[in-house]
Amino acid sequence: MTYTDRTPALALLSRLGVALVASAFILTSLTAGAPSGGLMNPLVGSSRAQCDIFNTAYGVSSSTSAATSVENSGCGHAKAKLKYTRNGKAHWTGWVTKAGNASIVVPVGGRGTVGNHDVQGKGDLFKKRFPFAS
Amino acid sequence: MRTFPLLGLAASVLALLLVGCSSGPPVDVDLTNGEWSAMSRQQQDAVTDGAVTEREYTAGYEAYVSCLADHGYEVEEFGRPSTIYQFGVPDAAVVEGADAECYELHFRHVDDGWQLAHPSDDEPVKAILRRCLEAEGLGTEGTEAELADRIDATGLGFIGCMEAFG
Repeated sequence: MTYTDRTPALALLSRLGVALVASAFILTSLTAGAPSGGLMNPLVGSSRAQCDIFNTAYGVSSSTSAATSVENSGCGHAKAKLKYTRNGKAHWTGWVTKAGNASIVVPVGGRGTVGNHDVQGKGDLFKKRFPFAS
Repeated sequence: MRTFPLLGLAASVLALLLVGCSSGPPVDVDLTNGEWSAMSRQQQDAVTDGAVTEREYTAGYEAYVSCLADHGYEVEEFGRPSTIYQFGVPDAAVVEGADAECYELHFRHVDDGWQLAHPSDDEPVKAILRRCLEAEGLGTEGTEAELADRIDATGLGFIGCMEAFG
């Protein structure tokens, strides 16, 4: 009696297993091509590969602001932050973000002496840190 | 025949599990899986609809500051004279990686989205740009972005302006 009760249960489990595998395969196939998948999407991949910095200039303005002029290729935006020293302690500002090729001014008004400069863009190849020449 | 409802239920449960476990961003959010998985749930929710609200921007900033405090770093806060929060992060937090970790987790994409939609219009910066334009006999009205564009368009040199008139 016990044996005959188990047989349909095993059959059901087997069918469930087939269904689970089939469902997983279908869902995996459907989600693999999602545009947001980074490396899975050739358009995103090529866009990010082209994102690079090729011309950056700096200016320091009487310890009130510092500016950077950033030219890039393929970046949606560029970012800059500054290192400054106040009361003998070094700090960094937050990021200032602008779209595309940008002239970015990072305010440091009254905070102290401007040290160096970090510039980034949206893209893995676009991340460089520069000291100010002055 | 009674197995079909069970099969349907199993398939539904599996679908929910797989969707729930998905680590990638929504289709219309231009972030990689790596960027998405490095974000807090709060930051993910904030960028999902493509627009960052004032409340989401402030919440992201506060979470970032709180995260740095949890790592033992006190942020110097300078308020919000323009559209964005101004603050200073101790150099050690940047060097040792806590700043990058907290920024990626709580604030980076919220900060980007907010700033791109709300460009800064900082008065001290505008004052410098106006002096530069005035010296060239050019118009001095407009937002910080408009003044900067005018300087760029005339070939005055943005960096030169900042150095000469700051």
